Amino acid sequence: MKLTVDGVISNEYPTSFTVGDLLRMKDIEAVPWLVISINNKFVKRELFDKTYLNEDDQIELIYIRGGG
Amino acid sequence: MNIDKYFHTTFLKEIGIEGQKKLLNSHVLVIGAGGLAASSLLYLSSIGVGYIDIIDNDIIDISNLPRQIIFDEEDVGKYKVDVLKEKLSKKNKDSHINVYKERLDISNASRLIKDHDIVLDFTDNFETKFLVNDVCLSLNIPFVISGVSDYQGQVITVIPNKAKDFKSIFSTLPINIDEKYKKEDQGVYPLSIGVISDIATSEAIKYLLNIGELLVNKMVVINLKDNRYQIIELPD
Repeated sequence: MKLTVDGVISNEYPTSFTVGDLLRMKDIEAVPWLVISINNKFVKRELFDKTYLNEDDQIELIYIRGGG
Repeated sequence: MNIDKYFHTTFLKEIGIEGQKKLLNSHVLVIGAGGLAASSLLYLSSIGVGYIDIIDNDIIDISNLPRQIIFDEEDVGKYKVDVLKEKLSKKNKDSHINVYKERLDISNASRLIKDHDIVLDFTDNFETKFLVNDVCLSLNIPFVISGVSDYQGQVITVIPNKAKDFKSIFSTLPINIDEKYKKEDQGVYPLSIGVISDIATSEAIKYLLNIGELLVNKMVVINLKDNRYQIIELPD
């Protein structure tokens, strides 16, 4: 399945693949200030393992910044 | 009002002389006097916001200068708010600068935040941003919250009772963050500060003028390193 993650396109993602699977595949720690958007819409954290990704989805891993 | 001074702003049909008068009568609170605030205050004063209050109790350090662009080398060691009051008062005599040499906390937040038309949060930690969020909601005062580190930053505008707030972004609030993460968070690209600050400041000005579209129920995320610019809808 083709996904764009943080602007990087890859065809190597399996089908039946959730947001939670993506984080585990990339070994990303789901710190509280990490939020994820799919096609410019937020995904609630409690839905990470229930949200299945679709072909051509654009996923952004966004670390909310606290600095000023 | 000196019409010549504001000619190019008032020439914009959405603003006009009436809009400029609104700005000259507006009360804006800036919380924090770091990089985001430094850039913002230059514009707030120049554009003619009539009453600008600033809260900060920090002293200028030499390491502040690359991103806190209002300060000079000779300002190092002085209180930020003292220098800001002096410089901004010279910049535009229509803009009245009032400073509070305090750190915002739960004991003084309501007193300092009340009676403003809009609040710009430029603090440097989540805990204070959440405090600003809660107090502005309780006082029914619109606010803009922004943050930056490394090359990236974000801005969100909140109109109480009409929009999702800053806390709604998080499932678990990022407070009491482990020190190891804070150390990773110290690098910052000064130009990202400028861009995020200007977006936040523009949100405040547009709100005061009641023009354009605000980042309400949305968050803008900008990464200047990779030229990635996004507007993301907040969760339901």
